[in-house]
Amino acid sequence: MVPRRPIKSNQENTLRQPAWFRFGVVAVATFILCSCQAGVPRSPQAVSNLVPTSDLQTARFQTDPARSEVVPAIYREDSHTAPPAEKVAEYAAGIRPAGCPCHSDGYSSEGCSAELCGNSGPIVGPRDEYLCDGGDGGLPVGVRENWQVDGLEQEDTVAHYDTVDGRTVVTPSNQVCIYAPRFGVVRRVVDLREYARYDMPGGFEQPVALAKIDENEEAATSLSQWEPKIHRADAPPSLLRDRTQLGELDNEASLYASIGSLAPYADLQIVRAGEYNSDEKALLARSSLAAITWAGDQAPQVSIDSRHAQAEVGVKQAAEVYHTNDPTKPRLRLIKLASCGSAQPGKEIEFTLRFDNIGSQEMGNVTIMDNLTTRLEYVSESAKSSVDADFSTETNLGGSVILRWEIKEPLDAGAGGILQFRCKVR
Amino acid sequence: MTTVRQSLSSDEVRLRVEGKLLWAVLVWLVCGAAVLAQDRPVHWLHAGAMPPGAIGRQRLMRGGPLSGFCQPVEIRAPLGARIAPAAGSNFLEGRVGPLLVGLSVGPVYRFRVTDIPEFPGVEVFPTVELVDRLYPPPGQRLRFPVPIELAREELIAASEGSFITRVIYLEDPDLAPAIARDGLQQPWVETRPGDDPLEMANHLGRPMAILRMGGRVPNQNQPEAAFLYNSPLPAIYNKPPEAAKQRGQLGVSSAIESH
Repeated sequence: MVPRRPIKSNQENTLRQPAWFRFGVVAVATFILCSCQAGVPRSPQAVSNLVPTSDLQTARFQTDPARSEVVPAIYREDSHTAPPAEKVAEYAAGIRPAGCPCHSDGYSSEGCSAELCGNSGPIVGPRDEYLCDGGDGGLPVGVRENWQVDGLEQEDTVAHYDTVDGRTVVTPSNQVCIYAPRFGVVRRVVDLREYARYDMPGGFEQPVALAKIDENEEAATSLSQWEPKIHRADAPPSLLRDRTQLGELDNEASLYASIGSLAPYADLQIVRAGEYNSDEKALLARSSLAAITWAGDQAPQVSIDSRHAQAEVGVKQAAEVYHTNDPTKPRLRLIKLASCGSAQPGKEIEFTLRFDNIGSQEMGNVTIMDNLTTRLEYVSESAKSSVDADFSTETNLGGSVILRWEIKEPLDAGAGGILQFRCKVR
Repeated sequence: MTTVRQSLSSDEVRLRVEGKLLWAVLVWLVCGAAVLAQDRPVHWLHAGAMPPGAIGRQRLMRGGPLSGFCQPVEIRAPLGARIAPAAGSNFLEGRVGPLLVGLSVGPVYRFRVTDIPEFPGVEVFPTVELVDRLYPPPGQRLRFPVPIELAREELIAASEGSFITRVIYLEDPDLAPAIARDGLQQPWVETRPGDDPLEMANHLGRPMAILRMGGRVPNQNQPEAAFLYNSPLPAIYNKPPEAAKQRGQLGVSSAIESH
């Protein structure tokens, strides 16, 4: 009798999954394990108190056409190509302190303020040594129908405006980083008395109670409580000298705000008039840290009415311009500058926000918001605006404030303005 | 016609499952190592109670641009107190603080503090161990030293037998409290009994230096080398940063003072 041959090979082929399927499962598992990270707020303290947490979920993905008024800024894969050189130069806002030659050691001479001569290179080393403000990190910012702003975290600086056709568009600014490390101390004191406790007996009890307390101490002296009936006051002056001042009064009026005189770091044509001047190319070349940080995939994208916007970014581009390809082309450019690149705690830094309507249509309800990080303390009444705007502050969860400018008048095409405020480094 | 089905042996099934698991573990290890390497360098294996120098030396073994870097450190003392760094087997002449020195990661630097206000005869010998460095913009290195404060009450407590450990850390900007710190005095956080100050500092930021005071006094005649930890001579800068900034220049003492 011939033994039956097992049909092992055929059965294996039928039961085992194809090789491509097995490797595919391994690849998918690897992808999930290695590259999946949830979008979380930038810091535990960074979530704004503007919106309850439960509302964030509904505000984040509002792509329903029925609610097209709400246009959240979303991120998508950066697939842009390098913009042309003239565009890079036009939008380059890596504007560093100007007019003050800095030495290699970071200090200036000949009357220049040393504080103006900050670092002029990219971020070196870990980010925890820098104080960054601006942009739209973490959760994207969105605006509801009732003008409630969602996702405005600390360090965020955004502007939102309404277009002629009724849309609301959110535009973040560039990010400005200032080198300002701050240190803390954790202390532990080990005292000798701590060891003495081990040698002490575990318990000691000696109840000694007083049998009786019967001791009244009488006062040795007693003060009379009679009040005097007559109070002889000192003789009042019989002569009153009256002193009359001159009748003239000099009225000295001082300027409340002087937007027209910009500090050297911001006294550039792109800030004064929103126009790029080729003579300032050398100054623009000394780009800020923010210009570098906006390169590549760090640039957020904006979606307007569920249509992907195109971001124009460059290696040395500090300002972000978002637009869609529809004929109306609403565009807002928001540039943020800082007066210095490094600061010690206690120093004041001036921030300048330059906004321009570089689109082809008018925009209304332009609102610019800056949620300051915890280490920046807003200097009271230091906010200035070159256009008529309502300014207000609001405390955020981190103990800092949210600055808000509401531009009263609609912004015509080509129009712009300057906002300035000062902050103290904590 | 009858079809004969022969079930696979349990060993084959087990081998297949094991093979897939091994593949998954292998791929995870390859990719996960890169992910874990992106985390910030924390001192999970270190403790504040380790002997001076151990943490800094092990930190050097982890790599990075630490070896040979001279990190400016500003040592602040009570007004009038003198700080003298150790050099070889003795101490240099004391200088009125603050003292700006350049230290390296790894060695332990011993100092002598004298002329403490209201306690003229008291001497305290703190040690400083640098465990990390700063990365300031080019040319800004001396403007941003690591501050190490010798508080008066701690100096007195150390002279009376207490052992004080201070871990100076760089605050995480995302965790920094909104508290203004205009003055020079550094606020500190006291650890609870049994807590490790280094581990606590790891959670609050990036540990930069460890200051230890008290517990030991040198030989009256000649400090032994073990007491001084064979301290290399730190680079001593002439002026503190603020004063030098007002002059518009910074200078380093001519070599490093010799003893």
